[in-house]
Amino acid sequence: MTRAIRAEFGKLRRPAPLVAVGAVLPVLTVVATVALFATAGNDPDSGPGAVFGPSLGQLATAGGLTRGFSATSAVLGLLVLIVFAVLTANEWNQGTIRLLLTREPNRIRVFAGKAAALLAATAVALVLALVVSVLTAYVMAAARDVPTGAWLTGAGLRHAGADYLRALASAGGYGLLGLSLGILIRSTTVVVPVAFAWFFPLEHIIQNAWAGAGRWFPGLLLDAIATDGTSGTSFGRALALGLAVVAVFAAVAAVDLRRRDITG
Amino acid sequence: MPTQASPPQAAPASTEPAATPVPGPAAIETTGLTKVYGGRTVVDHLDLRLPAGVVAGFVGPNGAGKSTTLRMLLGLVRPSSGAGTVLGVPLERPGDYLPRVGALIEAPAFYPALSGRANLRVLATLSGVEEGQVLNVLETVGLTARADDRYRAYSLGMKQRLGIAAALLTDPDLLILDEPTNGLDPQGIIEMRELIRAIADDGPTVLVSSHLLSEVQQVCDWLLMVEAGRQVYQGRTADLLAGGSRLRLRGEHAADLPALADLLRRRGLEPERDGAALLLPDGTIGDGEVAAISREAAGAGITLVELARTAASLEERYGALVAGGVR
Repeated sequence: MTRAIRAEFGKLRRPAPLVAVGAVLPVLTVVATVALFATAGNDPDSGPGAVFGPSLGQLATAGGLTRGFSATSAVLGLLVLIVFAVLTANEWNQGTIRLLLTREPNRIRVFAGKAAALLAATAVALVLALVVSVLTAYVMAAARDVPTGAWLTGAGLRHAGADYLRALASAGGYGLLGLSLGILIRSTTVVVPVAFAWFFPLEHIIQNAWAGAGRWFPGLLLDAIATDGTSGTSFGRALALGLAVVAVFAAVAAVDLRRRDITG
Repeated sequence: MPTQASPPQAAPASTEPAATPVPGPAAIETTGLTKVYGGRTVVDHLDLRLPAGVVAGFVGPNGAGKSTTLRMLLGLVRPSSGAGTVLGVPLERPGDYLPRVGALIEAPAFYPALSGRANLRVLATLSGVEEGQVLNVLETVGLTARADDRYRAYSLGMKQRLGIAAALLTDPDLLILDEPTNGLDPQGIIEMRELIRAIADDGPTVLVSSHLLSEVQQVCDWLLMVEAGRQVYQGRTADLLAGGSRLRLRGEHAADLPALADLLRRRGLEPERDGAALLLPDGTIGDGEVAAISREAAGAGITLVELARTAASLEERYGALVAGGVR
């Protein structure tokens, strides 16, 4: 298992995963943080800030430091899902699956190693995104005259830590869903549009027509984990059910992986 | 599964010569190995035996089931029925024999954005092989100078050589190469042939799958031949070719042909016409009889300008085997 993880880290030197995980995540959080501060109004119920997020007053609270980071969680999750799915399906597209499985015949071990390495890389990228978001928040706070005295307090750091862990749990869930879909679909040209279509527009469109969607659909549950629950789903329920759904996907993918012939 | 020696053999339906039994352990042995995809039998009850230490050609046209057979041997495809061993270990336990097997299956496949060296490092890490072995195999296949170039910048020949380097990483006892000359230019084919020979000289059993019979004939001393998923022949290359060698006779003048044919028939032989020459199956004609034919022809006023034993090509022998009713 250790060898499989180290081998996967060796593959992550490729530019595409590096750019996707290492650069895009921080850039997204910068954009989100700038937008959050730029559009925040004095009154929480007025102006574009009311649509996008908190007021300037709310940004000055202990939780304001990482509001920009948290605001990007759904997009981050989707990005992680796509990256995991592509990197997995690519093993079949490129034919490298043959190489891997003749070197390590335990298929589950190979993909468990891949999952562990990608999750570790995601955790690091999220730390980077969090740090960049925090720095951006200070710059924007100065620009918008937002008091920052509450940010670097014990409460502020607890908020930041909790935001990070929720984002990690959500992104990790998305990542494992992506990896499972990659194994099941085995084609980047199919898995990307399928995953994107379902987890981005379709789940939200269905949610608009059926409020119960937020309590059951995997993407919406994982989003609820990142946002500390929603009005329709508590954080606890989102965490339990979201991770259960991920576990089911992973189990189905594992069975398929063990049984299906490698013909490509 | 037992690994005792069994004689190389032609398929029951063919009329080919019995080859010399080869003692020693088998690198690969299968019994009734079969793969069926959706009702279509791709590999049909293969009983293969590959002696350890040979350079073997796995021969058959595209679609004959070669790649599927190799994938079953490598644990990538699950057999529908049958059994087998690789290096004495049952096929059901690929984890126990794959560390001693190197393989290049179909087109080489690596991570395009990584260098050749980085690609090998990934596989070496996965295999638990020392970094130094990466350098060794790069040197063996002649890629040291281009090791740090990205894989996507490699020519097809370099990609094939990197594939062989990957197969050699674990210093295998059995090397399986599936169509290693596919897509190569003539120079690349020659280099690949020399590389395979050099690797084989170091000791591993080598199984080379190919549909290029002339290539196999030059490299391999053992043959496994399949057609439409079924076994056609297995045994020494020399045994198969010897069975098809012929005596070729040609007189000075084309008009000599009927008289020369009559002369041979009077000796109880059945010549075949091949342009201006006649061909006789070579298997039962000794040197003494050849000399007698020469003298008799001279006595009849026929000057032979050609009297030579000709070895059959593998292509001809394969064609004869398939036409012999294997299907």
